[in-house]
Amino acid sequence: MTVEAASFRGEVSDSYSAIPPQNAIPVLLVASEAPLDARALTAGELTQVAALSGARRGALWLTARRALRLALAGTGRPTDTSAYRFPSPVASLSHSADLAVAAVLAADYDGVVGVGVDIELDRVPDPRTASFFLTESELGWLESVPTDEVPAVLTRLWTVKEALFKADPVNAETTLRDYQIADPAAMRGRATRSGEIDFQYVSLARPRGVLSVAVALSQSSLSQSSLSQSSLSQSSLSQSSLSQSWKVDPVQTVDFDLMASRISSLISVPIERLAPDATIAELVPDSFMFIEVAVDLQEEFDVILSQHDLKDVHTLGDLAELLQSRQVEQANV
Amino acid sequence: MNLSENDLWLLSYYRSSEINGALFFGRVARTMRPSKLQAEVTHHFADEAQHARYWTECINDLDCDPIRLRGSYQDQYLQAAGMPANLMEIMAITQVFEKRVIGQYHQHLKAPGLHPRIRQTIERIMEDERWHIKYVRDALTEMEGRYGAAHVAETVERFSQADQEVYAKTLAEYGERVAFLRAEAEAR
Repeated sequence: MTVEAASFRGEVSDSYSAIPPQNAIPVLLVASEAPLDARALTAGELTQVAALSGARRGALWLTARRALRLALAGTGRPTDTSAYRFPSPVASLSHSADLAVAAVLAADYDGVVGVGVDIELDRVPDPRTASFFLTESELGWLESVPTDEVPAVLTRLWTVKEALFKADPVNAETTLRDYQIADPAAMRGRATRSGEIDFQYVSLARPRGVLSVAVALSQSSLSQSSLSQSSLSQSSLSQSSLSQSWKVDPVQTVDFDLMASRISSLISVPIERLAPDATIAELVPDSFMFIEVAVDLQEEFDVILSQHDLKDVHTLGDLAELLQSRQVEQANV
Repeated sequence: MNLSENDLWLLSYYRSSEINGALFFGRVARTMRPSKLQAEVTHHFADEAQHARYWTECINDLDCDPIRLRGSYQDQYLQAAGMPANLMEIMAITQVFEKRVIGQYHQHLKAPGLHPRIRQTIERIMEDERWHIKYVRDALTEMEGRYGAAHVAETVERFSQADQEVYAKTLAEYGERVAFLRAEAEAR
């Protein structure tokens, strides 16, 4: 398999779809220089943008979200961007200057566990920083590059490393030097992180810089690639990875309607009755059921509530406010 | 009838507590995100339901029918300690509770003249209870990163204190009813 990223038609174009070659992993790229209309924001997106400080940061965020929303729509995925957390198995964002780029996997592939994109425009890394993001062998190869080409090569390798980092589903403790590019001269190829996870990447030259896209491949997809050599070892590897890995659901951003919808299904009460002023004690008189509701909402929205928190919660509106404030607080920790 | 009225009451109480445990862990299991812990809690839920079945079969084999009891040890627990509000608190209260269950079944095994069928049932259940304590301990250790080690320890301590209170109350309330509990109450 190879990663096939569609290039875009211009710096402000919205989308472009390419027909990938056989066995390729198509990734849709969308670029935007315009921000998302604030009136079109979902409740979750409003909560996220409200937590940002500074007009510049907010504007960049809205531009990136416009690109992401267009890319999600173009691939038939849910378009509430607040439901996606990064690193994501299907989407990635990058911006440079005032341009934002979103990369979204065009369809779901069992073997792909992460997508990363990075763009650099009008910017060249200082050559003295190369040792901080290139491995020893990559630095060795760089010495063979003609001097006048080094700035462009360094920029490209920087975007590849950033794209690999963003595609890595477990990148919390990794550095860019942990990723080894198989052939640093290649505009598309393979990379690996400490022999633990494999990637495919492709770089695209742009008029003012370069863009790279990477996908991370699961162990099971690696085993598939060795199927032709030994079907027996492929079978055992696949079973092993199935028993030890868990699909990660996207974390939802709290909004009242979503919260009410989950509670409605848990307590079998029509959603029309679940208004913000509805009293929890009347709706959920069974304390075991209340535990179920509380834990379910914490799991859904990835927040932690305590007994103390819940003492002051009397209505569904109180509960939604508490979940929203905890989600913002805990996301910023 | 091979059981005294008090013994039948105690075995029925065990059965009711196992049923409540199954219902509780079933609720927790269906709220959790896919994870190793989700699989373990689902296993725990199934174990508790099996234990209720073992007690039902044990009571039936002794030519009796279980008494319909709605209350359980867990109910008193939650009254004393308060409702667990998150997954860590659920694991903390479970650890304390499971230790108490093992302690209780150990006491019961020492009771003089214990019927072999009851002994067999307790020993069968205790095999599962040891695994419950292990997975819950491991889960709490993993949760220290997210909740804080000190907070996890404080929570376990809070539920342990509630456990002491509830058990003392149980001995006072039911010690007269069950001989081996009475002996322990007198020893205190």
